[in-house]
Amino acid sequence: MNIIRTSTRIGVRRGSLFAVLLALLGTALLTLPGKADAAAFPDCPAGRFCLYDGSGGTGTRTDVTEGAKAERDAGTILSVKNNTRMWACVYGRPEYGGGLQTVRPTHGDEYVVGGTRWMVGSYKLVPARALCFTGYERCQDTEVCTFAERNGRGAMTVFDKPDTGPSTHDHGNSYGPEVPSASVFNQTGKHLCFYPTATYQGTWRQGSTTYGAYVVLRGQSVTVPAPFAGTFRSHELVDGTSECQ
Amino acid sequence: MTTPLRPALALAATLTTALALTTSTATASTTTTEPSLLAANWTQTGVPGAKDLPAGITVTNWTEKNLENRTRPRLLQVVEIDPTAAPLDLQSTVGVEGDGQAETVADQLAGVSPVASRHPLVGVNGGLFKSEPAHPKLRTTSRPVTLQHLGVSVTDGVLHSASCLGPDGKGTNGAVIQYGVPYITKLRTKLSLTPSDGSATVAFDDINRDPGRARGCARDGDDEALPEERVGGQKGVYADADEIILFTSDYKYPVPKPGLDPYVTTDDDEGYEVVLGPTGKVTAAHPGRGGGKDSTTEVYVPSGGRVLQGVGTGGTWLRDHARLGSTLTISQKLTDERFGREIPLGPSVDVVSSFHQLLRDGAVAQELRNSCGATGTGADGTPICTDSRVALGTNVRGHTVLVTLTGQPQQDNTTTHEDGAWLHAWGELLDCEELGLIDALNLDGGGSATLITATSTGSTVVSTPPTDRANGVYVHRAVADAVYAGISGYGMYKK
Repeated sequence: MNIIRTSTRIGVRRGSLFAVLLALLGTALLTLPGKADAAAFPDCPAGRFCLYDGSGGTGTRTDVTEGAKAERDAGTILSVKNNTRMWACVYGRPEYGGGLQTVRPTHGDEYVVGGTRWMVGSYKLVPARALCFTGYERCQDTEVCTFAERNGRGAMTVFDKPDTGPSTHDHGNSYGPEVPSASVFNQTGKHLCFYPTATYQGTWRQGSTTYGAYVVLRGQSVTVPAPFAGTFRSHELVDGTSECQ
Repeated sequence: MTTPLRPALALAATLTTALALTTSTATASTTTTEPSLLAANWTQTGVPGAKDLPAGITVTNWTEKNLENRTRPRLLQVVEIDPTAAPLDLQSTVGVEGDGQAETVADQLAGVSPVASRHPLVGVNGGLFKSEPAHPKLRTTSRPVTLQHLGVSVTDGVLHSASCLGPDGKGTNGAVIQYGVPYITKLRTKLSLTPSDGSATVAFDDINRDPGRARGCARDGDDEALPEERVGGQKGVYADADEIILFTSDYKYPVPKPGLDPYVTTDDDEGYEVVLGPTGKVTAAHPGRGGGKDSTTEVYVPSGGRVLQGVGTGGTWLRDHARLGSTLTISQKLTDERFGREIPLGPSVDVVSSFHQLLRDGAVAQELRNSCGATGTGADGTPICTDSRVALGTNVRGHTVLVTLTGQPQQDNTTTHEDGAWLHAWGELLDCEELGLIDALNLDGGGSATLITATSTGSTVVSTPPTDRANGVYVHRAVADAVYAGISGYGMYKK
């Protein structure tokens, strides 16, 4: 679960420490915006997302433009000002993983409150707040992408062409447990069949039901449910799901 | 409405309260305890069949308790879709019959998959459209009428309609459905043809509609609005005598013949017609369109191919540059006008369009006007707006939300309760902490308003009252497209 905090509220103070505690507990949360207000960060230019290594817009300032992103940040950010028209999504871990905090256009935020620091692992600027909750956009046309976290967030593995080795199908890929599969985006024009072994075989059991493949339809994204999540070891692309092994 | 509007600050201050776990305290000086319109005038009521809803789908119903100028309470239905709680994705469809033919939402959703267990879990009607008459020479007179989309329509990356020009020339609003959520923005299309004979690229006008005659909105500056009295009382007819129109392979209606509209001369030109193979190679090219004005021949787009029709100078261009055996390269670009960026038309992209964004960044859109298509008489004799409403949005949790505002469903289809709201009042009602909406687009409403939910046992429930009358009973309208949450992944039984 992610810590989720929004900057959409006005005139309220956040419970940062509580938020961090809940983050450690893995509890979904919507907390309140930072104490940073529109009057702070006076040096942040219009059209820029400004990142500071000091609190309250102090220290060294780094500016990025609308639509910018950083899947891995150095971890030095202590405050931000979003002077763009987009929403800023700020994540607790690299590759849009971990907790999420959003900063609405023209607002700022603090990542040290009451002596407790919230680490910034990555960030991106998006045109609508709902797009902060997904990382699927990293997966490009014709690619199969798997993700370490739900909803396309966290570390991503990209498959843009099939393996050609003799032990693999010429239209698929096999791999080990290092490939995450909490969620999947099938950006190809074919359906996708996943298997629990590297030889395009195997089964899953759930109660009295035995499954031989997990299907992700073409053009679709999915947060993979149990018992399939995290167990994929190979996949192939097919024109019809009847072609799954 | 007699309940005063809440100050704008109240929205921001309360947007997350209902959903938040927080130790923060609101400062009395900048927040308000004034209830929202929803809290003041509506009460949360039970959802029939709630226990049978599939995973990932939550429905909340609100019934009007302060009727003010009404005699019967309206019903607000709110569906929240959580893509992390079940293997589902947000999509749109133009129905099993393909583009160009209207179908009920129920039929469209049933056609998504032949396997009942993979039918959509919830869906509503989609974008604005205009029904079109059948050409008098079409053999099958019982064939459903065709239609024109108003604004951009896309399913699985296939563009079905050009954008509207819009009042500022920057298009009209639509929802780009991708990554499991709708993104609402102003959309513009840029369509062009490049011939293999070395001639210059030329723009083409639209997709899947009668050449020479656009409905509902101007597509470009060449489209001239015709007064209703000149076109037999039809609303929103635009004429352009020089056009090229593309027809996609999923357009399942016969391509147009000349003279579809007896009131308009710009679609009378016999014109020119070109058939393209999958690679853009011209496989047929000839004068005349759709088999000819006075012929009963029906011409369809071949599977995997496309058809181009030209009238006026558009027909001349096709004749001169789309010769048999040559190739035309078709370019279709979709632009997010709000941020000036291109949206690649990949297989994961769907778009439904409408004219009005209700909420933007957690507040009623500044430009939202107050309009109503159908009024009735309220309890005190003053007008009430009875336009049923449908919205597609996102909430503070980043989830997609579908909302309908209608009259109450009835016991049988011999009677109905049609109701809704003025457009701005609809936006104000949605602008509340209880719903926690951030962005919302007004979809097609009125008689098109339809909400369907599935149950965990595979049956479906239509929970909005039908308001179109046919053969003495009320029926749900056939519409251009639908938005739904569908199964995106599933375990396949071992063979």
